[in-house]
Amino acid sequence: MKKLDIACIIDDDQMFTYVLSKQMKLVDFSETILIFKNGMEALKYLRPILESPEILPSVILLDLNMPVLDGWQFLDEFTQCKINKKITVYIVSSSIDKTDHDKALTYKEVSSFYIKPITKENLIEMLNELQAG
Amino acid sequence: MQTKLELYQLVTPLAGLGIWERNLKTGEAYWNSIIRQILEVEEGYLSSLEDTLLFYKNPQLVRDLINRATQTRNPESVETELITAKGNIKHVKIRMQADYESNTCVRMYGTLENITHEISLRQQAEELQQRFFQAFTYAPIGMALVSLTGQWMKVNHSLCNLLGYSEEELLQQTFQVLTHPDDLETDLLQMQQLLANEILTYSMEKRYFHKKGYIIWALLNVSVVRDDAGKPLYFVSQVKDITESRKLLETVKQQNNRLLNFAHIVSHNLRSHTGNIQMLTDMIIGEKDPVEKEELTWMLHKNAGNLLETLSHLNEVVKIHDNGLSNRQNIYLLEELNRVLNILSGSIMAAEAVVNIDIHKNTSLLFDPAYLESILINLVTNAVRYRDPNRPLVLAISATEAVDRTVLQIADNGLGIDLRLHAHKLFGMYKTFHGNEDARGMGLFMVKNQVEAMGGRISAESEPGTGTTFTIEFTKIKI
Repeated sequence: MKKLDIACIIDDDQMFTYVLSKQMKLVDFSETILIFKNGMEALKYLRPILESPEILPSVILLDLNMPVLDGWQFLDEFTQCKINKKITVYIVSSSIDKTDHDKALTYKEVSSFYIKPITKENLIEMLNELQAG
Repeated sequence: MQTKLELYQLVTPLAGLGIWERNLKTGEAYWNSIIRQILEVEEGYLSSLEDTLLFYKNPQLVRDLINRATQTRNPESVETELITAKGNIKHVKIRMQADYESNTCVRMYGTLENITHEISLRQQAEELQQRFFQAFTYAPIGMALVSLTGQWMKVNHSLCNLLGYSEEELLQQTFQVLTHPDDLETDLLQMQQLLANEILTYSMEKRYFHKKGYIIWALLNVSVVRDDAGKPLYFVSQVKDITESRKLLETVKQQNNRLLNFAHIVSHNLRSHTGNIQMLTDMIIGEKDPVEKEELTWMLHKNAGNLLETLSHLNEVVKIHDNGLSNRQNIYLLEELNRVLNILSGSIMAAEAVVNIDIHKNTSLLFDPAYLESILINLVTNAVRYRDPNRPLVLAISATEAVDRTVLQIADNGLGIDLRLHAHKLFGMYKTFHGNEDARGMGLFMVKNQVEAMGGRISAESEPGTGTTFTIEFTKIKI
């Protein structure tokens, strides 16, 4: 299985990002993992490099409930950007609220909605999907 | 063809019309059979004028009629009661005409009609009318007759009380003027349907404006009264005050929302921690390296601590709504605010903040003192913490009193919050907005819960770079 170049986690739960990134290393998910603790930090990093696809992530694991700029607000901003690279977004959230799941379906950029916790199997599933696509 | 006389003799019994005649010169008299039926006397019975007058309950009334008829020479009539030979009371109508020959009354003739049935119908109708107006006037719900254009034609006491107007004032108005604009169209539409005979009656929940300006929720029932030809005459409206039950419904809805919100908070926050625990234990089981295993175990321990902390936060919220109403005390707002500012004087002085207070010393609240302290501490601390580093903090704290509420405003000139982004989660649990490491996202959440547990409301206005104003409405309650 060929690993991905760059993966990005946007989540304010530092415990979660720590454990998730460890798991990602275990399944050889990607060469690099970028971690941001809210949507604003991620945007600040991504916006200046939109023109450089080689350093943009190919997958974003996005939490919904975050301070400053939450997952939805990040998506609203990010989907306005012109990007020369296919970036797959997975929502990874603790929300079991149906309205969140329904709302996620309205974004064509969002591939799937994963409810925490994330297992190794979930990560492998994502990998397969990304490489097939 | 019958002769005129035969026809006359056939038709008068058909019409139930008694016919009589007295010749004043000869003393001769004629009664037809109907007269005898009315008087319940045997065939052939005929009495003198004086004896006949004795059948009447009030003979004088009939004498007056005779005098009138002889004087005016016009047809005259009277309605009166008589007692028949068998002792039955009957209502009758007597018509009479005096006949003159060279200025001498020679003959009187006329009719006698049994109108007992008509009279009783008339009395019933009058009684019904009377009963309707009694019910109308003293009904515990508002009632009105309304013209086809919406003018109040007749209103009862309850409606006057409901809307706060006197009867005279109300009769000058139309219902349209007193109806909340959002409800007017629905009302008028159904009125048209009623007039067009598409519906027989309609009811709706609608809002009226009380004379003092506030809104009254009412259940309205309308029907239309038509004349014999089916032409609409006026509307009959019944107006029942449902403001209280509306308020209760509103409270129940709010409580349900809070409960649902709380269920989401619980579910979301517990899931975050348990999800982490699940992931950590999976990794610990799969980890070979003892150093890594040790680190993961330490993280698991930390996570358990976080879980406990969240649980204790949730517990605090439950407690707020649990004993909310039991611990109200009369608190002087200015006194309490000064006490809180004293507690926070260290950070206020360090921030070189200016605090302007505009609260009357007699302004008081019925509130849980611990909640009020928590609310003031949280809002003042937030203002200090999120002040704009480029200008000195100015805090304006004021209170105004209305009939039903006291409004407290805490305004700062700090960093502000972009409400376009954050309005829906400003008071949410674990929501932070400025990326501060030490922000827990509990303060405003607790403040909102404490305010609402006491039946109040909190809202915020804010502009990034200008400042934030929190407005708390404390509902005055009767106890």
